[in-house]
Amino acid sequence: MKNKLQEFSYVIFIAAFIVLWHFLSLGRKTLIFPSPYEVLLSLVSIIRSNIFVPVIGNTVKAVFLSFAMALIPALIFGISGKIVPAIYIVMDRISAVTRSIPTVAIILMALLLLPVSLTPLIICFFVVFPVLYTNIAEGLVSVDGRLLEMAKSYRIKKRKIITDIYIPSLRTFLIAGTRSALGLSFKIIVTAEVFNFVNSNTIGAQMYMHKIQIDLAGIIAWTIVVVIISLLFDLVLKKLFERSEAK
Amino acid sequence: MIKLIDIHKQFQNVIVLDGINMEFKEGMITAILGPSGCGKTTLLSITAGLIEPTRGEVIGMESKKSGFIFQEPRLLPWKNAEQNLEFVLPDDIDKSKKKQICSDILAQVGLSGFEKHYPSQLSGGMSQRLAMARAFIVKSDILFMDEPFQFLDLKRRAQMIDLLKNLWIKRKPAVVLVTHDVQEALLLSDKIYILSDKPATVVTEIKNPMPFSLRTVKNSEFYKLEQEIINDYLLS
Repeated sequence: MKNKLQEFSYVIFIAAFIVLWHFLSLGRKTLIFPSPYEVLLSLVSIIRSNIFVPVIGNTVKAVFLSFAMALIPALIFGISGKIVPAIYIVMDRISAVTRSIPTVAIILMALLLLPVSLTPLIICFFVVFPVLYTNIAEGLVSVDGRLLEMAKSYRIKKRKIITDIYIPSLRTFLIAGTRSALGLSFKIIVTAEVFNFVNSNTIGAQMYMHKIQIDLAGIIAWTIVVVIISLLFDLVLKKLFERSEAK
Repeated sequence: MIKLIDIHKQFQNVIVLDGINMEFKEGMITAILGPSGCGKTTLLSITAGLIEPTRGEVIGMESKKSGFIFQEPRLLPWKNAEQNLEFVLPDDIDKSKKKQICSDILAQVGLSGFEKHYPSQLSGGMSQRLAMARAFIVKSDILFMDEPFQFLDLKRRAQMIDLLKNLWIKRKPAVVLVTHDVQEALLLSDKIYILSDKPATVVTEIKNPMPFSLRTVKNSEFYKLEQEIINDYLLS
């Protein structure tokens, strides 16, 4: 009953927001401020266009690719840092410094230094890697030392200790980290795509083109698409997280 | 044979072990008996190579296969009973053979039918039996036991002691049993080292001449030896 009430209040909030938006757009003083109906029309036109699926595919592909690019080294450095303290100290400093670099600075430097087609991936790596690494390093602190001692007493190989103790212990931390990192990846990739003019079949490039045409309705429509895809990602990961907690 | 030579261990300013010399032979169960907190577990961990001594050396462990039964079962919660056993088996054994080995040992500890159960689905006694199966499945040369029956009630403890005897008698690896229970030490071991309170030294070494069949609390010789240990060494 309480859940239904919460869901209902959420729907009321969205409806109230759209109504308010609608009335604000009626008395607009600028031509570029669209009404909800204009955004809906733009959204329908985007979804029906031929480029919709390839655009989404390209951006989602880049999101997953950059995420994998960040996850694999984060896992390698996180676990090796647990085994070799010197690696932990070095990586801790590197991730602290990387985290404090403004994203826009990374974007501008990458645009000047790297091949344009690779910039979204590289930018995303630099932003997402420290997030994932920190999550994994924190998760490793919680690995049960008694299980590691048991493995040591049976002289289990390090590779097996990593796959059978460290990684399963990290599962909840990995899923939680993945939820925040994937959302972040999506935002960063779309931002970086705005600056990447080589491939126009990406969400960021499409947003940029709508900006050139001063078409705010198109930008909002693409934003809605991004939000829906992000929410879908999050829903899938949340279900995975719940299953892992239940075990 | 495994030898401990002049083992010292110090944690910051606290001297825990002070010049321990011991021998553990194949085909023999050796108990290390001493008051709680005297450093028995530390000594066992040093022998098993889990921690380093401050001074002294352990000889003969280099090429030995070892198993360990801890106070708690220390099972991997994300693996079922069968997978927990497979975890300690060498990787070069093929999958069907592994399954057969696991099935055999599970039958010996009375856990047939529980292959797919996770540790959270097993009782405390069953988990400890699974931990014992894990220790025996590796066909170790030396088995370390750190007060493995401490958290079991009297009935379960008696069952586990019988189970341990039955499993041990098949291959007779060297066993080092740490305990503070005199009866447990006398029921299982052929030789008992008695440690003093911290900093621990070896107070004495007692041979238990009784065969397994005569080691019962009803036996007058057993009772006499038990009283002798308690009065002469543990209470004095």
